[in-house]
Amino acid sequence: MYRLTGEMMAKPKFPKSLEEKNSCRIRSNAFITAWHKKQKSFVPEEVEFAQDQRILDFFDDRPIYGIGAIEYFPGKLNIITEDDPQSYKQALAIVNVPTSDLELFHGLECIKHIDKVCVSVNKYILWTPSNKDSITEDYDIALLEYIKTIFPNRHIEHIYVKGLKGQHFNFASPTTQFFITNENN
Amino acid sequence: MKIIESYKDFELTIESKKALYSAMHDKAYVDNITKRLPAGKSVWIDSNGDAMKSNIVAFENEKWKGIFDPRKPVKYYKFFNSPTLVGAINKYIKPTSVVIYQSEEFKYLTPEELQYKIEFMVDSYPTKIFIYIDMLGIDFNKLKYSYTHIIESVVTQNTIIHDLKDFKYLLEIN
Repeated sequence: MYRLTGEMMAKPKFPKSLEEKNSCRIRSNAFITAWHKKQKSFVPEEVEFAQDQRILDFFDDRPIYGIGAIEYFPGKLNIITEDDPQSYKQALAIVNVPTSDLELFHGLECIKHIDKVCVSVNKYILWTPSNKDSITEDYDIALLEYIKTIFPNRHIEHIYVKGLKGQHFNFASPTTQFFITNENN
Repeated sequence: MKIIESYKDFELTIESKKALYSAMHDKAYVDNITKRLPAGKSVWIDSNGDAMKSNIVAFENEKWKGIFDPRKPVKYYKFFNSPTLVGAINKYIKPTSVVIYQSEEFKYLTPEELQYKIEFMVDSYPTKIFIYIDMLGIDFNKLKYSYTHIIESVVTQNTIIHDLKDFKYLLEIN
């Protein structure tokens, strides 16, 4: 078992009812939606960010359970944000506001059994309250390992921009993406 | 529909540049900085300095030429770490403070690059120095290292770290 996961699992002592409410919640805010729209408006013609297109290509017509900064996708995908996530076969999680490692873990836990999942993460906005010696030094690999602890024994396609700086619209739509399916599919 | 991956895929118009620069330089912490400025000239580099004020001299990267009100006496530079820029500022303006606020020069840096740039500022300007750093824009392994650890590891001597909350810091040097 990945050591960090054990540490994180042990930390919160929420009452059960609150624990249930806190799970499956990845935050978003209006700024993200506005910034996404604004950056696209810089281009005179109609465009799609490459990372958004990958999401559009990944999902089929079945309902998709959506959490986080997903405001761009309803209307383009069959996104649902309510009801029990376990009744869905597809899920989209977009993490694009400051989120701790613990929040990320809890936010994704409720969709970990869903067959087809895309997790899209702005790697700049994550944070941890204290140093973790056990985490791999290479951040891109560390993120993949982290996602693997939440989605063990799954096929994960990891897409990211090496040496990501400010050129790739990452703060409008995250460029680090994990496309998670069942190995047998 | 055209798929775009980066800013290299199209040309920004002047209007787009204005919107982009404005989004990158909100004024949330300007008062927090100005209240700390010593008397005398203050040079703001790539920081949307209010050049209409008599005590502020604004230098902007030349890539932003054309987006500012032409009545504002904005000066332009090509290379942030140019000895010519540093020499001109020290010789002709003789500032008592240099300010870096929401500057692109201090975004997307690794901790090593950030430390180098802070040291460059200290070595270049014998003045009070204010550097605003949004840790969300610094490039390091955020699952492994805390923001507090990184900010403490990059500062030089004679620095006061003002915690502005929400992962933002103001370094007050000298």
